[in-house]
This record gives sequence, C-alpha cells and structure tokens, in this order.
Amino acid sequence: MNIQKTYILITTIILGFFIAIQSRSFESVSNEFQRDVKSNIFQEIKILKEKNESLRNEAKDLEDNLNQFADQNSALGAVEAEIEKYTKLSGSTPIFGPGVSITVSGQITTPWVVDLVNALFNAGSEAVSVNGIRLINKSAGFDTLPQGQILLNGSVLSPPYVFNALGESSNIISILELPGGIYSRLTAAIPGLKIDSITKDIIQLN
Amino acid sequence: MQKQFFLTFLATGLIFGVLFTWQLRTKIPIVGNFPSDEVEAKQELLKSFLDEQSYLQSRIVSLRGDLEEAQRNLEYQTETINFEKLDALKKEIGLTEISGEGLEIFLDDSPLAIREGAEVSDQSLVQASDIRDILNILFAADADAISINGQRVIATSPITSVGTTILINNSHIAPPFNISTVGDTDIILQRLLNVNLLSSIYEKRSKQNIKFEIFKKNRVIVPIYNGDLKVSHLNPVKQ
Repeated sequence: MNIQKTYILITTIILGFFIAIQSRSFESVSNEFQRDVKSNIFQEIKILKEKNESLRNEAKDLEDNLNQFADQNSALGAVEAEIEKYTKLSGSTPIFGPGVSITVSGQITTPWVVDLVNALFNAGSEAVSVNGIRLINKSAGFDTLPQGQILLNGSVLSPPYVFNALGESSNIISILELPGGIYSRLTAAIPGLKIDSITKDIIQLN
Repeated sequence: MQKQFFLTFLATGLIFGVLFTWQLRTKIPIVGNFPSDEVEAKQELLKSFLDEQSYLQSRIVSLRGDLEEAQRNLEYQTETINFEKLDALKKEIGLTEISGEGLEIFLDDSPLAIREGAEVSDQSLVQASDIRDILNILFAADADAISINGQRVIATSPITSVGTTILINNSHIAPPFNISTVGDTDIILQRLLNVNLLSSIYEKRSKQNIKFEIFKKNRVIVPIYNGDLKVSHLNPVKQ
C-alpha cells in the first residue's frame, strides 16, 4: 500500500512539473508572436547613443559643407558632391555596394514584409530592395490585394521574397538574428517559413 | 475514507510539483540596493541623451537652411551647376518642406492605459507596429510627404519600439501621435477606412477604446527631414 502511495506521489509531482513547464512555454511562445520587442533599457540607451553619434556626424558634415562656401570653387565642388549624394539616395540611378541578400521562402503577409523591411533599415541598411524593386519614398508602401497577394509599386510580389540590403553586412545580420529579433518572431509566427541570408561584397540595386 | 485520503494526497503532490517547478524556473531579477536611485539615474541618462538629440536635430535643420541660402547666393553667380536638379533631388528625399491638401490622423492610447511599466503586448496602447501599418498605407497611397509629431518620415525611417517606448528615426516620440500627410486625400482615406488593412487598430479602437481619428485638411505642413542620411556603402553605377 505504501509503495502505491509513493508511486502516486512521484507521478503527481512529475505531472505538476510538466504542467508548469508547458505553461511557461505558452507564455514565451506568445511573446515571440508579438510584432514589437520587449523592453530593454540597455538597448534603449545604446540606440540613443548611436543615434546621437550619427546626428553629430551629419551636423559636422553639414558644417564642413557650409565652410566650403567661403570660396566659389570649393562651393561648386560642395554642391556637386551634394548632388551626387542625393542622387544615390533618390533611387534615380543604379547603385552598388556590400550588403546582405535575404531569401524568404514561403507565404508571408504584408505586415511581416513591412516589419522585415523596417528591421533592415533599423539595423543600419542604407538602401533596400524587395524582389528587385528599390524602396524609395515613391515606392515604399506595400499593398494587400483581395486574394492576399502583396503589391509593391504596381508589381505583385511572389515567393521566394528576396530582400537585398546595402550596408555593414555583419551588423545587419547580427541584429536580424538576435534572440527575439525579426527572424525568430517571423519564424514563430509563420511555421514552415525558411529564411536564408548571405553577405555579399557587391549587390546592385537598380 | 481511503478514497478521500488518496485525493488529498494527489492534490498535494500536484500542487507541490507545480510550485517546485515554478520556483526552479523563476529568474530572480538583479536589483540594486537603491532601486529608486537606479530609476532616477536611468531617467537622467535618458533625458541627457534626448536633450542632446533635440539640440542636434535643430542644429541639422538650421545648417540645412544656411546651406540652402548659401546655394541660392551661389546660383546667382554661376550657371555651371544644375540647381534645378538639386532642388528636385531634395524634394524627392525629404529635404524640402511640403504643404498642401492632406490629412491629420490622431492616434492615442486608451484613456485608462498607463504606458510606464506596461507590457509591450498591452492592447490598450498604440504600438510601433500600428504606426508602421498606417505609414505603410500612406506610402502605398502615394502620399507626397508624411510626418509624425512634427518629425518627417521617409522611406528609410525605422519605426521601432523598445518596450513601450516608440522610436521614429531612432528618436523618442510619445503619445498622442499626430500623423500629418500631404497627398490625394480621397485615395488615402479609402485605404485608411478599410478595416481589413488596419484590422489591429480597428479592433483596439472598438475593444480597448484607443483613439484613432482622421481629419481632412485644406492645408497640412510637413517639415523637412531632420535626421542623418547615410551613403557610406552606396556607390553609383557608372552609366
């Protein structure tokens, strides 16, 4: 009889153990489904620090640029350099550079494409294209058609979705692959989705 | 009697197992000896970064204005530079103030919501993903220009969150959120009023009472972009 009681006790303890683990698992899985990231003060401070550094550099570049207007010849050079910089940003001519090429195999929805593009820019990408279409102010929005297809700049996007991003590739990849980052949230939300990313020395965006 | 004993035994064992596991898996948060000092230090640190950020953003806007003026003066002295091209490029990338017919969109947390210390999943709060969805619709509807709380948003602007703090171009913004856009109001309105395109926001508005209102305006002003523009990895393809 005592042996029977011991078995029951052990069984119920094990059962309780599994119930608790399962409950915690549900909690962490539901966190992964979130489109936004949990609070992290260190990350917040790091972002602000980096942002201020970028703004300081931009202000310094503008000051240097302005100083060149003291002399007409250097002023002309400064304006030409500005035109070249803005041309690269505007998307009016093809550009190339190092970066990351990401292939997403499977069906994803518009909000997740928006989130992945957002994550790429947040990770420091300077230019991004999706299935060959460069995202600039005139072409940045994704539409959803009644059947669920994704429309970008008048073209229907079909899988596999290829995201090309120019920038510091090691930084971009490491941010995307962070635990709780966009890759883990995306694959948790859409089971069976396959994401392959490779760094390249040269990627051309048209 | 024996059955009752077994049931009690079973329940005790079950509860013990649950509590034991919970205890084992609980991560004890590492806190300082003076938590209030830590909170204060965190707030002060954030404030100093944010103060510097607003100073730098104003400085950038001011310098871009000075540069514009210097370029205008140069334009009268020379004909070798294509200033029309420069102006067109500035307009395309968000370095020109845009005004015209447009919409003002107001978004705010539920009146009962408390953002400080809340979970990111709190459905009574406006989340970064809600703002991303609205901006995506505005871009898809060919809006000429967009700003949030006076901050210009361009195609490369990240809209993220760290917990319940929302960052646009990596700068903090706090609710209420006022999204201004210049463009074809009929096309934009048609998309914004489509419940299927903004299902999360419409659901939160009906269930959690978050504020989501759209107003048509004859004149909306969208300021110039006040952030940095990185091109260090971009090279032109020689044609």
